[in-house]
Amino acid sequence: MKNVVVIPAIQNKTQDKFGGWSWMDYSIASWQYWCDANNYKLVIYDSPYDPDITKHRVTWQRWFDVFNFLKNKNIEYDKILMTDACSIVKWDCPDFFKLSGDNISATRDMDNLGWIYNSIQGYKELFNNYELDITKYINAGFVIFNKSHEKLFNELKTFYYDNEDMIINLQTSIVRKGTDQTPLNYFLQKNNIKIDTLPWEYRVSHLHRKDLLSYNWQLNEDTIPFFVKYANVWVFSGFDKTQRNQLMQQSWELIKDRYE
Amino acid sequence: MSKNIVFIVNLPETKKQGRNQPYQYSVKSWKTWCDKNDCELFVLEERIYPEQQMNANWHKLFVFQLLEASNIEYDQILIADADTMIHPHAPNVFELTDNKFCAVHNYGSYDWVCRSIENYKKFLFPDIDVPLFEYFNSGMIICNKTHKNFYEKIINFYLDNSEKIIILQNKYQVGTDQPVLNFFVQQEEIDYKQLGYEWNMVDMRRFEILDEELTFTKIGWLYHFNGIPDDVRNYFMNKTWTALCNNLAE
Repeated sequence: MKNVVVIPAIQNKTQDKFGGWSWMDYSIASWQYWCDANNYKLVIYDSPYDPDITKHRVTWQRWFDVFNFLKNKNIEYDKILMTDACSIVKWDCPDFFKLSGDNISATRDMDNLGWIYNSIQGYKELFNNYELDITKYINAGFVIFNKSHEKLFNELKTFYYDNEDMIINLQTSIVRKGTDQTPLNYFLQKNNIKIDTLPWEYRVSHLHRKDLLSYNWQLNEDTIPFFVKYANVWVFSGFDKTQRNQLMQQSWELIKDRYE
Repeated sequence: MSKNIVFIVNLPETKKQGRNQPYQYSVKSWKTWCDKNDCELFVLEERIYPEQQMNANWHKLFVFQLLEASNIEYDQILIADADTMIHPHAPNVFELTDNKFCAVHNYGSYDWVCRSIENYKKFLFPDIDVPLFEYFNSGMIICNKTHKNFYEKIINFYLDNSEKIIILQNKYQVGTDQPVLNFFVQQEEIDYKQLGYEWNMVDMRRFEILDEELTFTKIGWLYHFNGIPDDVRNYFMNKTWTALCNNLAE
């Protein structure tokens, strides 16, 4: 059985906050190359169970749907990587599946700790004032799991639909800091789910915040941007989303030859 | 009986008068924490070498010599920068070390970090590689007796290469002791344990937690007031000390 990389890539025609959707193509092209090179299967999650993706966001539905989605397509698998369509994997990224065992594996998120702290506070009441450990807060954009977690995600689905009005209100009107990520963290910690932390070069986001878009202008010997040189999975997030397409396109132009 | 030691270099500034004014809050916070955790605070307030020959950061390397010259018995040593403060209720970090050399990855501006690694490799350590994600901030390091020779090697390296190092420091402005320590850890294959960000919270403004609500105090334990102008550092270290004192009284 193969491991699979699942990318939710659904274009919400009613929303244009991302300045178009063609950036997904760069992500998919890079992951297709990497999966072929490592003998894994790339799966595009493009048809969520609930078609109302404005109300029930794809970021939520992916967790509820993924097992049935793979089953319906007769795809056999061992481990699943759920990653974001705004990520580009480096052509020679090492096989991170080999770093993961039977537990869920993910990377710690601390790009904008102020945002994370406020998001945690915002969802606290939903989880009966549970004290979430921020030092264990993971990013939902790069998560490896397996069949043994199907029951867990079914429970998450039940929790979501039992509390959908409150969750959607918090998400869109009150907290306005992310969709599934913080509730997912609460859900995992409250249920004592063991998470293995992956090295963070496997999900490097907020590239501008961390000054990773530049190169060594002092030596001026190599103009390859730092994120390309040092990171394995580049996530184009944490900035004005209307710039995503341009930035991913520029990056792709710079490195696309490596994927041929 | 030997104790764990916290060592801080708090030298009078000669270049930027008053820059060290808020460092009093660092010393006070560490003293409070040491008293609660049965540790001893040791503060160096006099220069060993004149500033033009060795800046304050390099003086941290003399910790073993200074402790032994002062007849202080020690077990583990935490070396903290004078622009750090610790929460009075922080757990005993010495219990997290597994008796290894410990430090925290230098999160923040990777333009600065990458240039630091690449420039020092080119001019001082051409045969040594420092993986970016292992690069640590030297503002909080925990070491022990087994690292005495390691520190002596670095001191000797500095003294043998000080002219070149000072030129590098001034020309590229990408660190002083920190890049050299990182290269030495790799070169000497030091068994190094990386602690979490909560144990050396650098560049807090970049992560949007350096604010009027002192959000950083709700997230971690050791606050490093770097990457900000002197007046902002002064303001926040003063404000943090007031808040931590109140916290202590609760």
